[in-house]
Amino acid sequence: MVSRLLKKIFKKAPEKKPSGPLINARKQPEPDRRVYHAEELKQMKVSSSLNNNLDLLKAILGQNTDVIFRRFKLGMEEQTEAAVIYVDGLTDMNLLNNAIMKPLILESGQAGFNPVRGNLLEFVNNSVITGANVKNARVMEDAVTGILYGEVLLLINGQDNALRISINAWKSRDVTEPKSEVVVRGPREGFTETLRTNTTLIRRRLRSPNLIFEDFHIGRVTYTGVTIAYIRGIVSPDMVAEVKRRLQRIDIGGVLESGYLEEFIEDDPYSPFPQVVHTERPDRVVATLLEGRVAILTDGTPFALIVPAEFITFMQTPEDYYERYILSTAIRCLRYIAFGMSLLLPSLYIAITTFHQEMIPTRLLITLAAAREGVPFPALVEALMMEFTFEALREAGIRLPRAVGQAVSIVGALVIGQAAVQAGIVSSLMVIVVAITGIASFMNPSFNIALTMRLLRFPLMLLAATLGLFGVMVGILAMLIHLAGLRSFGVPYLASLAPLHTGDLKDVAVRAPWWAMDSRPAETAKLNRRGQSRRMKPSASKPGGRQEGGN
Amino acid sequence: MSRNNCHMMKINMIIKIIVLGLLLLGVMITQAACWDHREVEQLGIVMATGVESAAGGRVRIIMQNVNPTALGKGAGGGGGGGPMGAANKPYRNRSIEGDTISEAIRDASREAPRQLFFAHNQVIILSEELVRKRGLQEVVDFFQRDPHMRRTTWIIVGRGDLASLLDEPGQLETTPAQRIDSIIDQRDRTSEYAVQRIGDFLELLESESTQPFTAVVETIPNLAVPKDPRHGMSIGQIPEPPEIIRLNGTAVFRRDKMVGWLSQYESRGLLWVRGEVKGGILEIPSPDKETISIALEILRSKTKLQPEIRNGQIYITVSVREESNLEETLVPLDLTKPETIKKLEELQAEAIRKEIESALAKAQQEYGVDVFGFGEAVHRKYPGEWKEMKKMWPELFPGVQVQVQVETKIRRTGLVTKPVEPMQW
Repeated sequence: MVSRLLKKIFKKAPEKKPSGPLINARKQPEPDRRVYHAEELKQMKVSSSLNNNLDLLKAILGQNTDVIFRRFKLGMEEQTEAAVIYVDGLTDMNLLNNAIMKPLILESGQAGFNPVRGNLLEFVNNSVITGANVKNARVMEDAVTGILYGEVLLLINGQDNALRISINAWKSRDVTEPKSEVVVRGPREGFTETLRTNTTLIRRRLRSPNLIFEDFHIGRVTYTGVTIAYIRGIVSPDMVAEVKRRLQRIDIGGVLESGYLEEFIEDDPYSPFPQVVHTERPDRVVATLLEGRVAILTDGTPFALIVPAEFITFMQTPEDYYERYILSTAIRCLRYIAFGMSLLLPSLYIAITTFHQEMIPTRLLITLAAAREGVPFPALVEALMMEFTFEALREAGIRLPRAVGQAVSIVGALVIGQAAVQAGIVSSLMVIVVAITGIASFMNPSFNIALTMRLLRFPLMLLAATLGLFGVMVGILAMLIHLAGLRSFGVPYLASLAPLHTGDLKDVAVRAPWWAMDSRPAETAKLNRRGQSRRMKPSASKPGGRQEGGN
Repeated sequence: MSRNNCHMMKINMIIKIIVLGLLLLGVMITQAACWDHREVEQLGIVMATGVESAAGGRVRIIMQNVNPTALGKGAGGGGGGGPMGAANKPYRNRSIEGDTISEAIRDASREAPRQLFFAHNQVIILSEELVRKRGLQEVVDFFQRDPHMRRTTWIIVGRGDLASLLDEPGQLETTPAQRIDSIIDQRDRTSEYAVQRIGDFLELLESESTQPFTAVVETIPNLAVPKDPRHGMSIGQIPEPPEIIRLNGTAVFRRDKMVGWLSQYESRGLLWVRGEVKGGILEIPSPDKETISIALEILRSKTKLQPEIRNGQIYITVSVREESNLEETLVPLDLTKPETIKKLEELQAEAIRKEIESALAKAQQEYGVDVFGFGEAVHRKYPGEWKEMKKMWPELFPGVQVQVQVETKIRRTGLVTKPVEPMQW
């Protein structure tokens, strides 16, 4: 019964085939009813009649008030008719006037066109228009896509070929400091919502001819631009092929954020662990590209995806590599401890206080007994209550406007920290445990793995309350078994540790100094491990150090 | 069609897993009261257990429970005066009789509101009367067998009434049990009593040669109580208690019965032979006069036992190496001269030798029990002969010839080389 219901829900909606003949587009009586699909548009050729083309485009786009159709005559003796079509607001009006309209209408006559020998369109392209980025469009799909991307489409009567002149410029957010990944030391630029800006930010940091950007368009309706970036020669070609294969099979209505893609390209969709890193920082993307990973940039969001992602990549932050290595190592170790605490502390507390009191030092046990005296709930209920309150406050604090958010945290601190303890509903030790867990979970550098920890804490707490430390161990082992089987784009999730790559341990718990980071990760950069010269350790006795070439 | 089927089966499986998971979750939440689940506040944490003999061959158990209510919720602590004007005591003592210890303890649940929890038992006190007359055999089994009992719990002999020993007021710790535990923690500051954990004690109990021993606890009058009874009372403070607890000397056992007692001096002699002196003050006479006037602080010591069998006689050489600091002197000494130090070292060796000999005399002549581990030393060196000897070791032990060799060093002499002397003119 339930399965049948679910089946109904999961069943794909039947694709509606567009009805009506395609060729009769011109005579379409009610153009507003017509739905145009990309496949159809690919079939429609640009015809040599300007009027035909304009009618067709008007049928497709004409209802929109922001699409401008401008007819004019070329400034030559023949007075050939022509038209430009563009979306108002997506193009640079100055450039349109000065680099396209002015030369076409006023100056094209002086260029000396020979109508007998030359092709008018080629002539216009070569000698009249001063815009730099010009492409041809022979089918309507190219033409319409170009227009919607902010290009100017130039149609000339008698030519079965249109020109797409890219002078797009629209209002977009400036490059600002990334909000979700703040560093004390390091570049302050973050990605924006504009794909081209984002690729620029990467290219500016990586001036190698081997940095490759490849474009995709995903989304039946939104037709969102997606760019994958990788460094040829470092990345393994199989990896790039796999990323492309997984992206190409996505057939979805719209892509508004890279999270849409993430769910399609994960290896295990049921795992609570994130298998793709997301970042707002171009420097982080470049660092991972140098390790032989692939970045996926999506138009309309500042969050880039990085694949493959192992567990340890979620524990690394860009600043680890900018700060001196001794301090980075210490902070990273602290982070691993905090990671363990954010996952385990409440469940350990429950297990030990309800099953294994003999493990607690005597004095602590007496303090504990005194603190719990009169508390009406068992430790599990107490813990669940406090965790729930804490998570609720956290969620409320994130969503609310900043001014209200602070008020919430004050109320929360008072309610949790003071009133609940004084009322004798929870013990003060539980408040401390929940608070430490909260602080520890804030130390996770990756928001998505912190979310996983927040989630997994609860089943572990239940296990602890039923089976004690044995239950906690069972939970941890189940998690480890799952993690050991998990892969991200074919790379084992626990890579560097299991399977063990001793050479890569220099970037797990410790962050080795840069002069010792002489090889790239074994799993991602299999083909080209050597990333820098060896023996670069600075020494006071040999000023200048040894010079060694190589890449 | 087959794809569709496959799809359906997959969904069926997922639903099964979800339902199973929900069921498990339900069971886990509702059945959270597992058989060994207990909240901290349900525990009656036992801090000390006393065992006395009662009439009719029964035993009386005195248990000291923590009373968390009196400790307050984090703040305060120790209870600053209850509603009735009297402070709630942070512990409660319960006394109960039974034929066996386990019966007595189980019987206590008829009067104790909480589940008695022995894992944090700090100390087991056996009354002197019990161990002298009836022996340990009948009481130690429970402490050995019960899984809650730890082998690290101190076992000591209590002089006098255990109920009053476990209820001496004026402790700095939460409970009198912790007070005893904290006092024992400082045993190396004097090395004047030899105390055992129950695990080691039980090992000695079943040893072929070495006999068990452990420290004795007693109450003594508190000399800090002001002579004038009005003193300090006017401002409402709790007065000094009339009695205090002290660990005093070592009880010596033969098999499971206590047969004798070693004083502080003799106890240290025992510890010297066993190589367990780790600190304490050693007093020696000054080089010129016979009066005791110099105190040395023991830093560390090491002991070696070397047995030898010659012409049917057992000889044991006890060689002690000791290092100390000069801590105090009542007479002026010229410490710049190496001879003075040399002399002090000789006097110190002599003092240690005397301590050891006093312990040897007591153990060999008076009690006839080998608490030193001589038998084990012989066993190690002469395993073949030991087979014959072990049966008559109690008879052989008093006749063992012991030679004591002491080697001492004085490391430092403190901040002054020449003590302050009143000006003479």
